Amino acid sequence: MGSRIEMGAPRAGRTAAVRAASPLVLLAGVGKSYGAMTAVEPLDLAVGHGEFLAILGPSGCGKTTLLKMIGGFLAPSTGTIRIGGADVTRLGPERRPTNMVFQGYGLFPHMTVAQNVAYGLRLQKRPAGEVAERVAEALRLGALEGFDARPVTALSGGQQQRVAVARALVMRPKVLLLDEPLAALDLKLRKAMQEELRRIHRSIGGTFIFVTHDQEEAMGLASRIVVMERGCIVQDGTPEEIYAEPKTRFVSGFIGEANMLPGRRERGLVRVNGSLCFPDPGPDGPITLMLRPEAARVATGESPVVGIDSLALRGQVRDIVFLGAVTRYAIAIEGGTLLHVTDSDSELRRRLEVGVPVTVHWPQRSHRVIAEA
Amino acid sequence: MRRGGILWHGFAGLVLLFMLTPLFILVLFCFSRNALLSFPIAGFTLDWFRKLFEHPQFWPSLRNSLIITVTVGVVSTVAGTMAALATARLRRAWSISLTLLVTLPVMLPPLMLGVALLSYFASIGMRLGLPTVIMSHLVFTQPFVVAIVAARMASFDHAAVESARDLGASRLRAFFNVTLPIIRPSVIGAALIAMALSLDDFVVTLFTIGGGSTLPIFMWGMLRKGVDPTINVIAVLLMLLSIGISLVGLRATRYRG
Ligand SMILES: Nc1ncnc2c1ncn2[C@@H]1O[C@H](COP(=O)(O)OP(=O)(O)O)[C@@H](O)[C@H]1O
Ligand SMILES: [Mg+2]
Repeated sequence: MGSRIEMGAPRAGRTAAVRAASPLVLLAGVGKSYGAMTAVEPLDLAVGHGEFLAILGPSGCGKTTLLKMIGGFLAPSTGTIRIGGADVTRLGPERRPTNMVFQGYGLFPHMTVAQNVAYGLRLQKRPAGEVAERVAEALRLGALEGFDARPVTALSGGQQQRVAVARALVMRPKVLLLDEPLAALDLKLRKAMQEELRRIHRSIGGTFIFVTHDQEEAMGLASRIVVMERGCIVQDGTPEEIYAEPKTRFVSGFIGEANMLPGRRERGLVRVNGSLCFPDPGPDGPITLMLRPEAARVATGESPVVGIDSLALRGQVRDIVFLGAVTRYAIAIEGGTLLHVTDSDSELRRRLEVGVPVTVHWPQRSHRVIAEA
Repeated sequence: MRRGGILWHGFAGLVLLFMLTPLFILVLFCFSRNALLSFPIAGFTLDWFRKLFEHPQFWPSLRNSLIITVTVGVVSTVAGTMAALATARLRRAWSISLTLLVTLPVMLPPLMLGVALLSYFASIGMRLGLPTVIMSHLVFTQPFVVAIVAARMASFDHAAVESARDLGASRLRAFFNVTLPIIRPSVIGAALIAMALSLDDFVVTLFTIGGGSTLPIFMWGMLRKGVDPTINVIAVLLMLLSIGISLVGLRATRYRG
């Protein structure tokens, strides 16, 4: 129905097995050092056709460096990069089937919207008719009809962002790279642009790789998330997998909110906070128990009804914050540690106030025990 | 508030008057019959222009001045811009020290610079003439170009150039399509300053030109024979030349859109 812009790749919807067999982008041992400083440790990464991949990590973890190596703006210190089967490690950006939307967009300030979008096609010496047609298509895709003759300096942040995306997509890249595409926009616009980007990705079925330090953005946009920490990939999976089963303490703290309780595992028995003890197979040593605020429940009364496979901790309400859809309770458990629990039950909110003794409980399957290295 | 406003405007007017009166008088005396620079004006004449244009040294001096100014303008702009672009890629500490090094000649008094250049050309056995003047002018005009363009590059959005490369442009093409149009106003401004400095330099030129003459040197030579209204005419011509350069520059820098 929508646009006829397409990317040089089959549409999404292949099985994981096929993807793994013929990844579109394949990094093997790719790393980058600046002198003694290692920005990206040698890493492997395969990206399949039609994926919308987020590279997520805190500022300075090497995301931009990784993206620029894929785009050809930085030469890797080690490893090889293949795109569509061809080795592109030594090729410059102008000779790779990728296009990039830069942090800050990098629009040409001395050109109009249409001139910006047409620039790449003009360089390819395409016939004027084709240029006009493809530019019009790209502008339609970016919801920029009627802006052709505007100087890009006279556009809002969100519009500039869409010009940058249109300018890259008009080239029909095999892979579209985006560096912090929404970071410069305010919250409301960010939500709207997330929808725009998802719509664009759906309508052309292309392969998008974007980097961000904003976990909500990664969760909201991507079909797969690669989490980076200090130049290394620490986890790789769907947003659901990463949220539900973070592999490390860092990932669980970085993705969504999490309560962290230190503890120990000895002979298959985990002890946390002195009073809590439950069986959990695994190697002996220090562990962290990770519990999402929405996974736990708050109960009042002397002997609340708690499920058979549930765990419970006694405590006292310290703070109540009404957040709209949910209310967040800060509960001091025995030993003084604060646990955060969110709940949407308005009945519960009426019964609770600061100082009330409560029990926090949760089914065993909804926490995670993470072994500390 | 209002009183303050009037005072302020009055003061600004006085300053302006103080600055412009000499120029006005200069122009006035070009057309005055008086052989001495004195009031009252005895009548209108174009004799001083005729006298100047008939002077055997005037046209060669004008020609030399134009050759030097234009060459210095072009060369210092191209080389200075290239140097500024190169330093913009370096790390901050390096770029600052390099810019300081390049700017050093500007801090020398022109007299020292003239002597230094003269002994340098003598030591390498180079004959004095227009080429040596041009090289000498480059020494003190280029730093301004480097400083102006480097200042522009400090706030330059490199993503625009990287985008051009990403869309298929070679380095050179990205430079001409993107970098140059964006920094053009600064480059032209730098060229104008270089040309203005070169056009009106006297000291360094005197040391490095050997036998020839430029407008300032010609003027100096005439002054030594006694003050005569022809001097005013040269001064006005130099002024018009400078204003002309600036006007051309302003037109060229006008930002489209
Ligand atoms: N040209 C460079 N020289 C030295 N260090 C650099 C250079 N570029 C980036 N770095 C360093 O590499 C690390 C990763 O940078 P970057 O990829 O930009 O991080 P991110 O995009 O995740 O915020 C940072 O610590 C940064 O300081
Ligand atoms: Mg970055």
